Amino acid sequence: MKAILLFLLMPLCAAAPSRRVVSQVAAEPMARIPGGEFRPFLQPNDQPDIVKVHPFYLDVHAVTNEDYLAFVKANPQWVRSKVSRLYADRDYLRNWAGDFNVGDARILHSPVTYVSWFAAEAYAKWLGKRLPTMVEWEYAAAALPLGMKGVRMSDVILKWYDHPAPKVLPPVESTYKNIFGIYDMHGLVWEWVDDFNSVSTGNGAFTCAATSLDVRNKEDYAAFMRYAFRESLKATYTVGCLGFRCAMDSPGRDANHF
Amino acid sequence: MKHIGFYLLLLACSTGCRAKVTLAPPPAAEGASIYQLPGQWSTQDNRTITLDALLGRPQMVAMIYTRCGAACPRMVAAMKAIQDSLPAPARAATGFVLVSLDPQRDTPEQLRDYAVTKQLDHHWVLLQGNAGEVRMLSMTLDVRYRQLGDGSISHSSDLFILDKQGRVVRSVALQDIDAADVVRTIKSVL
Repeated sequence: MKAILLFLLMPLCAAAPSRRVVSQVAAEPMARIPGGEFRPFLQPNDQPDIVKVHPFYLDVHAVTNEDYLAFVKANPQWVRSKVSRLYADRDYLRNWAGDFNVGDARILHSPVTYVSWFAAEAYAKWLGKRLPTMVEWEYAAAALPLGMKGVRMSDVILKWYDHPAPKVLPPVESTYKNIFGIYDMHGLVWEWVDDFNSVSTGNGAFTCAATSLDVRNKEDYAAFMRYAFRESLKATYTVGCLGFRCAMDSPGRDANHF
Repeated sequence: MKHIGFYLLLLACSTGCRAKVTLAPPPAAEGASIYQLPGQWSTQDNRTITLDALLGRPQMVAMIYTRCGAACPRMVAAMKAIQDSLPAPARAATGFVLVSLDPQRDTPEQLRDYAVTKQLDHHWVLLQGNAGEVRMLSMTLDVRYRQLGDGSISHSSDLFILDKQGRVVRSVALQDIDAADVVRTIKSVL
C-alpha cells in the first residue's frame, strides 16, 4: 500500500528545457460516450448505489503542451509569469522553458501538467467545453481496453502504478484505447475533474476510506488511490503527474452536471 | 505545501488514523483577492452584484444552504455571536456573507426569508450564484461539498475572514471557533 503510494507521489516526468517550439493547434477530437449506469466507488450511505450517466462527449486524449501553448497565447493572463496566485501555485507550468516556450520538444504532444484546476477550467471554457464531472470521468475510465476481455480494470491500473516513472512523459495515445474510443484514461497522467472537491467534506473521513463504510469495494485500491489523490488536492495545486481533458454535453440530452 | 499534504495522506493511510491533520495556510494564496472571481450574484434583496461589491470592509464569509438542518444553523449562529461580540464601531464596519451551496433552491426570496427568520441585519449579504460560480468560489475557499441523493448537501463547515480587499486572512473550522480570537482577527484588518 505504502509502496504504491510512493510510486504515485514520485514525479512522473522531468523534462529538461532545450529548444523553442512553435505550435499550430486545434481542439482535441472528442468521442461520444454512450449513456449508461454506473456504480461509483464512493458510496454515500443514503444514495442509491447506481447512478445514471447521460451521454456526453469526452476528449479522445488529454490536453497536450502544444494545445495549452495555443491557449496561453490567446489568453496571456494565463502565462506562467502573470497567472494570479488565486488561480495557480508557484509550480504552474514549471517544466516549461518560458511563458510561450514549452522547452523540451519531446513533450509537445505529451499531456500538459503542472496546471491547476482553475487553469484546466479556463482552458475548457475557452473552447466552449467544460471539465468532466467525477462520475463522467470514472464511468469513461471504467471501460475496458479494446481487445482485452476478461481482465480486471484494477489490475491494468495497478500495473501502471508499478512502473517506474519515465524521465520524459510519453505522448498522448501512447497507452491504450478503450471500448469508448478514448485513450490513456489510466497509465499516463492523473486528470482533473470538475467536482474533485466533492470527494471529501473536509473532515478527513475519506482519507482512511479503507476503514470507512461508504466505499464500494475495499479491495479496489486503484480507485482508492485516485479518490485519495483527489482528496489531497486543492484547486490551485499544480503537480507534475496531473493533467486534464475536456468534456461537453451531448446536444439535446440531459446533462450530467448542474 | 502540497508535499506536506501528500505526506499526511501517506501517514494517515499507514497509521489508520481517522483525523486529518491540517497544517494548511489560508486557502487563498497571499495577496490574491477572491473578488477577482468573475460572475454575477443575486442578493436577498434581488440585487445583482459582482463580488467586488464587497470591497472596502472586512467580511466574514460562509458557504451554507438554507435547508441545511445540521452544520449551517450552527455556522450562522457562530457568525451572529461574533457580530454581537464586536464593539460597536467594528460591528458597524464589518460585513457578513452567506453564499448558498444550493443555488437551485436558494432563490433571492428564499434567502430573504432565511435572513428574516434568522434575524440577520443589514450587515448581512446572502448570495445566490449559478452552479459554476458556486463551484469556483468553493474551489477558491477550499470548501468541499457534495449533493446527496435526498436533496441534502454534505459540506465542510469552515468560516472565513476576508480583509477589505477580499483576501482570506483566516479560515476557522466551526468546531474550533473561538469568538474572542476571531474578533481580534477582524479588528486587525479593520
